[in-house]
Amino acid sequence: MNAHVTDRLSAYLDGALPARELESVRAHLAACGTCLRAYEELGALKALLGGLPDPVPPPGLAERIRWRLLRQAARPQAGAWTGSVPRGLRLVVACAAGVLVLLLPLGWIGGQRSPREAPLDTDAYFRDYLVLAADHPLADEVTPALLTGEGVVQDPALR
Amino acid sequence: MAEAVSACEGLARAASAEAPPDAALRLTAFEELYQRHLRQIYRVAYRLTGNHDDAEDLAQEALLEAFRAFDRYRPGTYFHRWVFRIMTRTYIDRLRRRARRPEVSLDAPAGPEGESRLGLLGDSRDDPQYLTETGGLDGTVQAALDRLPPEFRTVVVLADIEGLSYDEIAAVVGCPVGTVRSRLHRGREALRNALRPYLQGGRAE
Repeated sequence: MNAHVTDRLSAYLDGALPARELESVRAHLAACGTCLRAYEELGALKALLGGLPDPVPPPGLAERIRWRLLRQAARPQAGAWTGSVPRGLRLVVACAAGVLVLLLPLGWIGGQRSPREAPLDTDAYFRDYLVLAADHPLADEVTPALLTGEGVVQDPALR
Repeated sequence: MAEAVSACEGLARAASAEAPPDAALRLTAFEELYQRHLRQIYRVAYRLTGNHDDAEDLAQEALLEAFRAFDRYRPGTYFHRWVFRIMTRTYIDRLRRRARRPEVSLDAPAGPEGESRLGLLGDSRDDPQYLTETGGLDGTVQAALDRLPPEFRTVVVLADIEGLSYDEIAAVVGCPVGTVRSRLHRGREALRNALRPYLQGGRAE
């Protein structure tokens, strides 16, 4: 009696055993009740798994997937189709913000004003915003929308 | 529901109106493909995770990832196998992330039968929702599948539920055919032991 062939039965069942091993497994099965029983159980297992009923997808699954795909398609920086343009423009914004940051102290010195006295107008707000946006260009959904004029769908509840 | 539908259509219009035509085409082409294969995609997601909530999460995540990478899909090849590849990777990644940042203490023993922690984390036997979802033989078989380490479960699902060949599984999972063979052998042996009462008197062919 040869050694048991348990470790090759699975592949034998699938017809995935190399030809040179096929004959020895077949011969062993003809002589060994233990391996034959294991083989039959594996066959029954395969049939059992193959016969499992299809799970019924939860109602509305297709619609929920569609919804998320649309959201993603409508988001400019995530889609491949807006591609490199916003990314390039974001770089320009970052550079512009950098220049502003560098020039800001010169403006203060030139105007003989302390930072405390710098005007708190919309320009200042926008400057701060640009600095922030340059620090986190990817997190800022408004940046590409502002630059490309494309609408951004934002739903905080779903983010 | 009506609101949701109209909002959905509004988004669809927005997407197709603002996007260049090829983006709208891309979305349409993707939708046509995934809707045709949703049943198979969901079936694999469900058999991997063992419950409907996680299955839906996994299917959604995999399809969104597939949509992002849709440019890499080669038309004419099997779309669902391409999604399976993304989905099995997503699934294993997700379990690893959960294993790295577990909700339970890592000091807890790794299981009575020395299973890997990864395998235990994929186990949803004790999920009460799961118990109400599946019953009978299906539930018993699914519970046995859930107890397999995820790498074994994946190849068993792809081979015995989806009917993929060893080569096809190797392509989906991204490992050598020899690895597929040994994982399948070990996975089936574990299932054979767990489900023996249901396999008696079964015919191999």
